[in-house]
Amino acid sequence: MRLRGVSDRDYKEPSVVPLVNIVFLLLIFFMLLGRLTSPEVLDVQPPASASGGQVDSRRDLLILVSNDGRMALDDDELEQDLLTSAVAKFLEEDPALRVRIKADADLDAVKLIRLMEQLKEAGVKRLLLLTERPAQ
Amino acid sequence: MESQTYTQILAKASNNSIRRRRPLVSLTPLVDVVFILLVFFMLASSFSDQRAVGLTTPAVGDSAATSNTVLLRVRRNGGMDLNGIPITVNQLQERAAQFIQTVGERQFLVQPDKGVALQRVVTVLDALYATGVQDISLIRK
Repeated sequence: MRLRGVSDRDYKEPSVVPLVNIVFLLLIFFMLLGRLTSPEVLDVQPPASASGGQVDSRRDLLILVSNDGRMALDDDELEQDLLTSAVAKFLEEDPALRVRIKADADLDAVKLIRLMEQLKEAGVKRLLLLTERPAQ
Repeated sequence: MESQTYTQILAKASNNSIRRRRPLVSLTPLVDVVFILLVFFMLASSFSDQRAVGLTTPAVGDSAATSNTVLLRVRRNGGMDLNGIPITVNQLQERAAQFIQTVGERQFLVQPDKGVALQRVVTVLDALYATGVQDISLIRK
């Protein structure tokens, strides 16, 4: 459909330059402020806490515990016994290894304590529980 | 060159700028790529502020019945008790501070009931750390 008085020659594409500017700004924002993380095997929502130190970038073992008690060591879902023996094996290679636990906020705390006790028997000295800073 | 008038130079300059602007490089491929990058970073990045809380369990065979130990039980029904005295979360800091003042450095044992969500235990740990308690262990029955 052509409106009267508006010929093809009069029609101009709107400039894309402002769009490109905004998109570049958004791109830079997400690149600088976001942290790239690999997706995890279990869906875990860590508990909120105000205390706790910053997570440093040291390479630690990561144990995921979902709210129904399933566990995973890094990217492999394992039973608890297998998991602790795997951790013990890693500890033999590097005794200073720390273990981070990322457990779901709805997990039964007793289950976590049982896991911690087993890890302690396996020789883990330093256990960290990952939490999230609550949104202000 | 020197004989050119000022108006001639101006006319030439404006001609040049018009000619330079006309063969504008198309922005569309650039926008395509930038959009793809933007979508990638939006989906792949996370903004959560992660923290790490140190956790310990008492050494195996450690007697919990030493005089320097305070037992804090977190009940399933929402309450908690400190050495058997029922308290609320709000009272916890005050009471814990009293315990620290009366007998100095103390070890706190936190014992959640079966079925208590981890979030409640972490909230209790938060309150204890805020009071200045250093030595907190988690135990189970």
